[in-house]
Order: sequence, then C-alpha cells, then structure tokens
Amino acid sequence: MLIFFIIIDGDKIKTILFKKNIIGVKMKALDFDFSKDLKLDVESGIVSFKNIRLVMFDVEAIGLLRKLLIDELGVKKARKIFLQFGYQQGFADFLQMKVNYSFDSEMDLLASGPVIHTWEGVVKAVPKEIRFDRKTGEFYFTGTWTNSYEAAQHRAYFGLSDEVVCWSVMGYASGWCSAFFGKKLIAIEPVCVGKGDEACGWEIKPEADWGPEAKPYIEALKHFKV
Amino acid sequence: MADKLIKYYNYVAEQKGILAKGKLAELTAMPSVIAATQPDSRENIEKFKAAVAKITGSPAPEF
Repeated sequence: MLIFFIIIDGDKIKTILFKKNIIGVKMKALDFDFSKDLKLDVESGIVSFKNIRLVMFDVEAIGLLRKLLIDELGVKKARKIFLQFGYQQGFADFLQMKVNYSFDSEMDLLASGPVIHTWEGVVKAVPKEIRFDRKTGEFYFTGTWTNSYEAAQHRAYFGLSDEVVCWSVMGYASGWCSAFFGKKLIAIEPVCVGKGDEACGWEIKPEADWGPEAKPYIEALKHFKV
Repeated sequence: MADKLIKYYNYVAEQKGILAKGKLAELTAMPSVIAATQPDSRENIEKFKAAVAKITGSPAPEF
C-alpha cells in the first residue's frame, strides 16, 4: 500500500509517496504483500526477500528429497527432521517479520504467519479461531490448510497415508506461534489430505494441553528452548 | 529468542550484501535459521560482533 503526503512549501505543492512499511506505519496482517519485497536479480543469480536469500525448486524435487529421507531413515526419523526443519524456519520467519514490519496489533502479527506461509507457496492457510492470553498462558489457534505441497507430495510418492503427513507445515506453525507467544506451542493437523481428508487443518495449543496424540511432535521439538 | 542475532544478520546484509550472511554463518557456525532459536546471550553476541567486525572492517554496532 502507498501513502501520499501533500506538502505545501510556499507556492509549491509537493506530493511525496511513501511505501507504508518504510515509514513504520502499522498494517493489518492481510496488508502484507510478499511480492513488494521480493527481488529477482538475474545479474547476480540471487533471489531475495528483504535480507533473506531464497532458492526455487520444483516441488516434485522437494518431494523426492522427502521420499529419499523417508526411504533411508524411516517415517519416524524423517518426520522428526521435517518437524524440526519447519520449526526453525517458522521461528526465523517470525523474527524477520517482527524486525521488518509493524503491525496494527499483536493479533495481526500472529495472523501474518498464515499470510506469509501462503505467499511462500507452501500452503493456503486460512485462520478460523484465534484466542490467546499472555497472563494465563492460554493459546488456541485453528484454521484450514489447502493445497499443502507436502500432502500432495506424500501422496505422489507414497499414496494415501494412515496418519497426517504435513510435517514441515506443522513444524512451521509450531515455530511461528512459539516465537510469537514466547512459550512452546505445538501444531497438529486434526485432518490431512495426505490421509484422504478433503482439506488439511491445524490446531495449535501449549504442550501441556495436548493428549498422548502429541507425543511424537513434542518429542521431536523438545530440544528447542523458547 | 535471538532478536539481536537476527539484527546482526540483517546488518551485514545491508552493509555488505546478502552473500555476507553466508560469511557470517560460516564465522559464527550459526546460520540464521539456527540463530533464531538461540539465546541473545553475551557469548553469542560477542561471537557475532567479532564476526561482523571481520566482515565489514568496522566495529559492530550495539543492538
């Protein structure tokens, strides 16, 4: 979004344009526009977003890497690796968003996570319910993921699964929300296209609020301190 | 949470270009996605300041 300032200097009228985020004006989560800060520099061979270097891969190549890891290590170890990979990425993305942009409210900062995840082409993330209280430590965040690259790639290489499969996507959501809340939070998919559901979804809560179903996720992320 | 370590990453990128982040990762043995979940401890900050100074040729700023 652009903002116009009109300055009257004597008999001259000057119009000055500012990009909203440059002058620190706060924005809503949905105002975030990844494409504005994405740079494709063919001279240097560097694609970047702010100060982050990005690379583009065919999603099926990423799917192949995932398959090779599963084949080599087994599902349990591969799941752990992808949960940790997603967690670190989500945590780091949160810090970059916090440093580089100003949001209207804490709710907008939190909700910018699904927005950037969508811009990154990982998944279309639409929040449903957000509730948190820093004083009591309560945190509850749910929503729907569609077009998950990870669910599609799992099915492409392995067919339908008995369990949810968007490991890096869950890890990302866990990392983003943990960085936001300053407390370890765990995201788990109640439904997943990888096991035949119509869409994927997320539910994020503090570790202690989960039951035994969360054990592999908590175990995979246990060494991260918030 | 590593707010300051991430600021050093952004600082070297602004001063020396985005590839300087790779040099900072090499010198600190802490790439930015790993640094994000590390503490802004005195030890980490000193390590980053020394590396930033080496990369930029000037004393690292305080964040």
